[in-house]
Amino acid sequence: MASRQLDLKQLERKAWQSFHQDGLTDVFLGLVLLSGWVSSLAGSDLLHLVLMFATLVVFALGKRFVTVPRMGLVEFGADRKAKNRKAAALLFFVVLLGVALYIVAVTNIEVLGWRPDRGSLTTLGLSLVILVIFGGIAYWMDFPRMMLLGLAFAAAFAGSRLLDSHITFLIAGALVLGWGLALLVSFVRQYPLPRRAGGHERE
Amino acid sequence: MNASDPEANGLKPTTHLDRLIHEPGRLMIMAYLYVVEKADFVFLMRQTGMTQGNLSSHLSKLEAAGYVEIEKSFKGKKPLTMLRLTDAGRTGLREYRESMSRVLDGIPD
Repeated sequence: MASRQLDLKQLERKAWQSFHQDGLTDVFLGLVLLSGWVSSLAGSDLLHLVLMFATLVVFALGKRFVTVPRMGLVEFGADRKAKNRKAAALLFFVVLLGVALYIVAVTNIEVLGWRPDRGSLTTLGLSLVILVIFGGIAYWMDFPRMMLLGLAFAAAFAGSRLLDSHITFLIAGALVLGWGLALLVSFVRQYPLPRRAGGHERE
Repeated sequence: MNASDPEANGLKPTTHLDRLIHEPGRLMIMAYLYVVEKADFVFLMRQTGMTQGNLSSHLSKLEAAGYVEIEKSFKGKKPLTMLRLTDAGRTGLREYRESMSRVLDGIPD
């Protein structure tokens, strides 16, 4: 019976996922990984912050000037907004946890009788961030590819700890960025800019 | 018994179906607008795969029936056409789904 009916949930999911075909999320995350590698070479946390901000700007400009003119504008319904709010709340919680761990590491205070060294705290914090953020986003935002991207982050991070080298961020970043650019090129070819001359578009 | 009579064959009549929504192109447009709050012309064109002319023609009919609200404005210097389903459109699509379900339920496996 269900197959005979209009599958509206499936239709909404398809529309939502079409906005992630542009590869910009992959490009953004690839640049984040690469910024980790560059700032580790320079040994500067400030540079890391600046590069992270720059990647966000690239992402926002890409959506504004590449995706929206090709895919159009849409405001999704209440269910989708609720899902996005859950993902945002999760991100907020994880960021707060990350800040708390950072403060504990910097001030070297004892928490519940445990005074961890900075390295183990970083490992613990980032592992948590990787697992929770990527899993949560993949689930709540109907974006399964995010799990693969999370795997790239986890591999880069774990590899850098095991090998004591940040080259793993370069490798993972290059792979993710390359994949994102390939998706972006395919998206731009598949969706050229529409001519604005049709009936309802003519003013 | 008349063999060409659907009701005589155990099938439900389809005369109560909303013919305006029943057309596949318009049904697709209404279904997409049902699952979002509002969307612009380009979004619908991409999702439905229709040409500008075809989509525009269907939208005019849906607007005339009071199912779709069309709001025209400018974003910078570019024209922007935002579309949303009216309450009558939402009700119409829900009733169409129910009617179709009843009709299809009458078809033996």
